[in-house]
Amino acid sequence: MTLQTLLLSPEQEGYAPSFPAEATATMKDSPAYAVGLGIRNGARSVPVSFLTRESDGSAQYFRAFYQTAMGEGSLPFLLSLRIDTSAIAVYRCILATESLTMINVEADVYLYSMQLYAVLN
Amino acid sequence: MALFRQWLWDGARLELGLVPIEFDDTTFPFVALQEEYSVTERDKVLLIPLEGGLPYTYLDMIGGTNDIAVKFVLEPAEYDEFWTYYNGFLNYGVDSFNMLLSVDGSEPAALACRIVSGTITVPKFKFGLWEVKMTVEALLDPIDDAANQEIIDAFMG
Repeated sequence: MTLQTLLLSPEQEGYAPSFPAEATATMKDSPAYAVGLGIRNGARSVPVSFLTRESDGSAQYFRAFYQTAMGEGSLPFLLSLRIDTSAIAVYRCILATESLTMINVEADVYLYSMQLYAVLN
Repeated sequence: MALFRQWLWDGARLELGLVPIEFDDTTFPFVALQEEYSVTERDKVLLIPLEGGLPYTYLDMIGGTNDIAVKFVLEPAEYDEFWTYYNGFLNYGVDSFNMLLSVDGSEPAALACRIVSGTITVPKFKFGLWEVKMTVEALLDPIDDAANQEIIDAFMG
């Protein structure tokens, strides 16, 4: 299974080192999740936000990526994050159930937040 | 009721649709009376009124579905048929189905729907008619994976 990489840079708001029971429950419903991420593999819970714009195509890209590459939260994907160290590394991520929120819309700017479960790729 | 239903069926064969769906045996043959139109809390989306117009939702951007509370008013002769469809055709509410709905003030159109789990009510008998309520999740904008992948690839350059 080839994971697609989300090229947008998120704003990170810290992370939690635990792996919540909710994530395990989500995995059980998604074979792709189990394959792509692995269960109990040191996943971190990472809240992130993305600022996207219609004018530079990032808003359209984010929506397309969410719907197709992320399977609306059912598929794992790759994303560069900064966790534990000062270095940015690529992590395999999946969206926490129903955590995607549109925080604000102003002109052509859309701000989304979401919670990810991430393991080092 | 039967004449009204036939009128809707005939009308749906015209170009009404937000989502054009061929009317065939996959369409739920009962008229849904919409009680309210709401944005699902589960998707946590914004509802932003346009200038003096109808509310516009951003649902199609992050999920493409909308929760709509509906009510079916059935004549006694239709009651058993309704539950036969519910049990078999809808697989007890698990399977998706097509149904005529009006969203954002649009003309009624056949939209792919699925019953939101746990929302169907116990039937009530009022003034000689049966009443059943439920909330359906209606698909407003089907996801086009091929088109999306083109956008993704183009962005990656």
